[in-house]
Amino acid sequence: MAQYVTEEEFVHWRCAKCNSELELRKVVVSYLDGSFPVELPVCKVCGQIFIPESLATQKMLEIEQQMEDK
Amino acid sequence: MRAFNEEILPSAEIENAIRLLEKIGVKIQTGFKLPQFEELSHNDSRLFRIGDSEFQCIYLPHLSEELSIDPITRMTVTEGIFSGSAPVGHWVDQMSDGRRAAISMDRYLQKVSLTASRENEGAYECRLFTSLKGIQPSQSFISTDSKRTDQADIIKEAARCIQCQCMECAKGCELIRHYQDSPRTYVRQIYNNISICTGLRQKNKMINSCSICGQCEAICPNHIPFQKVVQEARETMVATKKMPPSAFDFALRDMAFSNSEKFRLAKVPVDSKACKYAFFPGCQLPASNPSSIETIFSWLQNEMEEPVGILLRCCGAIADWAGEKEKFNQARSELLSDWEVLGKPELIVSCPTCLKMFRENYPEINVRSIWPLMAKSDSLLNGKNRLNSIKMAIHDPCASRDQPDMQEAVRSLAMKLGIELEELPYNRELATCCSYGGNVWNSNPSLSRDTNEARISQNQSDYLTYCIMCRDFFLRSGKPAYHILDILFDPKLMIEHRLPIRPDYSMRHENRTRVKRHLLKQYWREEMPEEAPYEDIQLILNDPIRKLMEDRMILEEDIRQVLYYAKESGRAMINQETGHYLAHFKPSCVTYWVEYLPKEDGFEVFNVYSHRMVVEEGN
Ligand code: SF4
Ligand code: SF4
Ligand SMILES: [Zn+2]
Repeated sequence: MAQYVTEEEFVHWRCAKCNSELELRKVVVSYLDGSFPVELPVCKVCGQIFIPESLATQKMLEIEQQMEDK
Repeated sequence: MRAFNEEILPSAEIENAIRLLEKIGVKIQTGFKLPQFEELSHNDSRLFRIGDSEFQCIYLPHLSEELSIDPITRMTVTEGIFSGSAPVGHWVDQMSDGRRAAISMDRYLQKVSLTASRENEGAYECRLFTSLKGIQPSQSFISTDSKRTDQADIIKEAARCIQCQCMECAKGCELIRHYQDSPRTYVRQIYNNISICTGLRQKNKMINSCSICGQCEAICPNHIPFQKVVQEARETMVATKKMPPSAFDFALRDMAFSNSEKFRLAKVPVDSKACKYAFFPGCQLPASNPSSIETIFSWLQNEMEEPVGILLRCCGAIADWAGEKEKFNQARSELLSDWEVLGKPELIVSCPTCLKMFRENYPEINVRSIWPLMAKSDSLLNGKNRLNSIKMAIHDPCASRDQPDMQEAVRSLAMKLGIELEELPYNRELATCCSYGGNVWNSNPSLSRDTNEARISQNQSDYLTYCIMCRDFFLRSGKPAYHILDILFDPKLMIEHRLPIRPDYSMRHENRTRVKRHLLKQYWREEMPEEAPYEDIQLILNDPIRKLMEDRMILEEDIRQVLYYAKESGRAMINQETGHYLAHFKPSCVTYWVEYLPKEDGFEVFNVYSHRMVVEEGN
């Protein structure tokens, strides 16, 4: 399973709602006809997800564009 | 053949060729003397006998002309005997003879027509257009007397070849240059791209990068209607659900905004039930130059003898360009019902694209261009807006291509304003697109910039145009550019050497709403429909953030929705080091992320980004 977010990128972030730490968990991301299991940081309590700018603007964008041309 | 000098025809090449022939079953026999033509005749089984062998057909090298060799098939008067007439030493002609005869002999053995579709053999007049502009005439280096031409002269002669190609359209279009081939190839690639069943559709981007402006067809000596191929391809992609969803999404949402209650308006003058005319400014002029709308509207009310109403919305061009037939038809029918509410007035239109759209897609509506009206009017030129012969280069918007009356009217208006016009290359019927057309600014921002760079470098003077998007794209690239209304209504801009303001995407929405709010209040004493609850969230955005929003196509209203959702749900992340919050929300297809800090006077925004992938999230 792919892990695109490093510890460093989320170590300072906490869930503001639960005041809880984040941990890496398996999450399914999907686009058009494809879905992929990935490890993403989420709130230990409520499961709120954290996607850093680097992931959204690089890897995710790249996959989106590939899927769009399929 | 083996008698040739090794340098001219290396024996290894001959061996290679022979091996190839043997591979396909050709038997090569040498060493017998060919008879004279006159000695050959069919025997009872219609074969020719030479020595111990019999042949169905024969090729005799260079017989003389008198044997009346057929110029197309190279068959002699005796059926089955073929020959050539090229003189000894004329190798190219001899090869041509041999090749033509070989084709005929093959057909002869297969008993099919020797003459069918042979018009493109040998030298023929092709349809390839090659411009000789800038090419110096030169003399041949091959001597016509019997003396052999030396090597140096042969090289010089070869260098005279101009490598004929057309590519006339590429001179005018960034897209054609960018993909480094010609529309002829692109058409084939587009066909393959849309017929592909599995695998990557590598030409999606190219298909979605054309402005559908028609300049290439106007230039093309063969009138290849490339833009129609692109238009159809996009429609097919949408119909087969193969259109990349991100390609035109932002532009389509811009259209949806213009056709929502935020902008759309259809009103007759207060004391009338219907109107004879209505002003239709389109969606982008109100976004870029909001104050001009009321100025024109009130001018028209004085100028026209009958009541003038107003119709605000998008003409549907954005959906049409995107290949979204359904969305276009929806926009069209909504427009028609608004128009009916007004009493089916004649529309007075300022945007060249709207006008083109109306003329091509709304046969039921009478339309007229505002420009001839303005050019003829005396009330607009008040002496204050007469400039002291300022030089400007005029850029015709691509949508004006087939509307010479509009092109003329704007020129005459400009001259009345005291502007000395310079003509750009690719104007009038060859007008060039600023990349707004076809929604290219949305689907391929970098090509859009290259297109603008190429256009702005064609003349040193400031540019004058009459499409507000052309103006804004030139301004974005740093070129001083004015819409003729900028000068007509605010001549001080020119006198004080100030540039018009180019609003960013968020401002464009806000300006449209402002136009509607202002007109409603001013003319009908009405208020805007109620706002969504997120709309009064105050944002604090510095210039780098505004620039980032522009590049990432994220609007203030997207940010407001994220912040509103975070406020209502309490869902956000907090950074222990900076104290910044990070929240996300997905209003429709795109998830937006905003990093922010609540302040007394609003939310200060530090970062924004988005993605289209959908993430499964716990509650
Ligand atoms: S942008 Fe215009 S000139 Fe270029 S290929 Fe498309 S239709 Fe032709
Ligand atoms: S499309 Fe027309 S103008 Fe362009 S290269 Fe081909 S023949 Fe020439
Ligand atoms: Zn939580």
